Amino acid sequence: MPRPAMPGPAMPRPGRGWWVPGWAVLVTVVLLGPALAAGYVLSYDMVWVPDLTLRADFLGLGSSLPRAVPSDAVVSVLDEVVPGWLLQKLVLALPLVAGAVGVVRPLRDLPLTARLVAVSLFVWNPFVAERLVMGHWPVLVGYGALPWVLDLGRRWRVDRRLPAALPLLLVTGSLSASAGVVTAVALVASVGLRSRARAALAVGLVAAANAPWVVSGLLHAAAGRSDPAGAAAFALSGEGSLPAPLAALSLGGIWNSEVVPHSRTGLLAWVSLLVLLTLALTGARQWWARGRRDAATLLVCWAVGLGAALLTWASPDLVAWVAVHVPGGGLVRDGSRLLVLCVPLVVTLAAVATSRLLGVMEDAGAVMVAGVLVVLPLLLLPDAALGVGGRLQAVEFPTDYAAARAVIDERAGEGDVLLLPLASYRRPSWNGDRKVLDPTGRYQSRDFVTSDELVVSGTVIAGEDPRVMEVSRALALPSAPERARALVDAGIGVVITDRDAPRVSPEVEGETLLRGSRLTVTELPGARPRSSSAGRVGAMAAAWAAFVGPLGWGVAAAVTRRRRRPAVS
Amino acid sequence: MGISGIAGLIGSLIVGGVVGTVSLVGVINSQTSPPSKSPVSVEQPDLDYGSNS
Repeated sequence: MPRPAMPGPAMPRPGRGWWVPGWAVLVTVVLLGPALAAGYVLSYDMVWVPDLTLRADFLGLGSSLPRAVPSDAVVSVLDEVVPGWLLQKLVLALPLVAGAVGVVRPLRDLPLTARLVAVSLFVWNPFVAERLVMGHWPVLVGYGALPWVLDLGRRWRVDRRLPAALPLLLVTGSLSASAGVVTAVALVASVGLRSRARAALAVGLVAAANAPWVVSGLLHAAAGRSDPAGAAAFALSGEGSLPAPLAALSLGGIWNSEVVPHSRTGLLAWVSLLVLLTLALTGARQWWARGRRDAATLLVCWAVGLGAALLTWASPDLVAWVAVHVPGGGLVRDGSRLLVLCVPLVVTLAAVATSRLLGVMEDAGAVMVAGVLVVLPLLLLPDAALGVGGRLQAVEFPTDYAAARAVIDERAGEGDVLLLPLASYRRPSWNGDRKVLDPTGRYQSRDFVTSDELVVSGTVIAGEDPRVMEVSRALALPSAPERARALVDAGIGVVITDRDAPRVSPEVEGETLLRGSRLTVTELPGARPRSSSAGRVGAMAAAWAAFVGPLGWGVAAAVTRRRRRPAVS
Repeated sequence: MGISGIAGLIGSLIVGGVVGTVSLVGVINSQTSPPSKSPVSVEQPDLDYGSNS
């Protein structure tokens, strides 16, 4: 005999539609904490400045591999509308909130508590915490777009009509190479291959969204091969006592142990794994029965993500071969980034398992279990709270940075900027001694040359930029005038020396435009700006047109469909 | 217990969890953190991007 309807976790009530976004906002705010304060969060690869100026390098015309294409170009356009500091807050918070809301859209029939569990797990997991500290914000933007790409891909397959919002989502989810690959896999898996025309259009849209970094990478074919040592250094890794494959199953496994929360190195990591596996086994059958085609989509994504991550761990030699022999192959050497693809399935299984557990329990017990499960992801990764244990802090730039930018814009002659000392990363005292990619280059407005060599656990991973090698040779010359002449020949018109950095920089003869407390700006007269060939400019123009084109179609389609929609009286 | 009961339970767990965790992490950090200004080694002038260990 069916039970009478009782007010409980599954009962719809007025205003309940706000619980999911409200909970997503609350969890996101607790996660980001001090990162949402006024100022700029600078952490490892994440560099945000007040006004990022669009320049040739950001458009993929530089001499280095396009690791920040198209993300830097997109930011430099958007921060003309929204201040850089505010844009960074939005970029950090919105994908988590929007992605959490998107990931529960296919689960609307489940009890509210089950959906809140999904929200908690989507926002609060090792992948998000580790990538936040690592500063991989384009990956997290793709993370937020992923559930919506899956949802709209499904709608396209079912309705047989391309959703107008899909091109915008594809572009949003393709702000870096690895994010673009993730978005492509998700779209193809959700759209399917049954209709060849639809599959071809999907591949075309994906190609357009990824065109800037793909074309730029191909243009670097001659010099764009990466150091094979990077394959082992950036492979999937264990966390504490958790071996790499098990770390990946629980959505961790980043290569850099410095950014792993402490709780992931102890007993809590094992408990997390056990909880996730239990939930997966509990919910698996019911999840599969909800719809095999949609289940297959999530399963394909999970398998590709986990498989790619495991490949970097099991066979770094193969990844190294790709980095050496495939132009631009080094762009995807950090294989654990693709674990993004595992999240929708893990989150969905947790929600379905929660629903099943609540269904077999008495009301009082169900409420208790529901409350515990909703906050369990937070309790199992407690040091992700408040800016991942305070590792994400907003700071202000010292005044030297604005002064250097101003003096270069107003007084310096032509030529690009060289950043000294020639080392990629800094640990500025004004940033709380937290590591960050040298922000000086992005703060000023010209193309710049900086080291692209990386040091991981004392192992040097060679860079790929031939111009850095040219500059290194110039700096190795015996006298300051000789160094200056060679740098001018290399197209360098300005040298900015960071005196706060530990490494000693070689002297270069030139006119000192600024001697601040931290930065010294030296002008090298006579430099000529380097220009790209017409062929390269044409190729990149076509790539950017492909990138922007589908957006225009999406807007036009949305407007047209809205006009055609019959008015509701 | 209705939805307000769930909210109360969640709130209690969050507050308790955060207070307990912050206390625990604070104690651990205070006992294990390295000196704030490590001397720079002349043998290793470049800053490590990260660590595999």
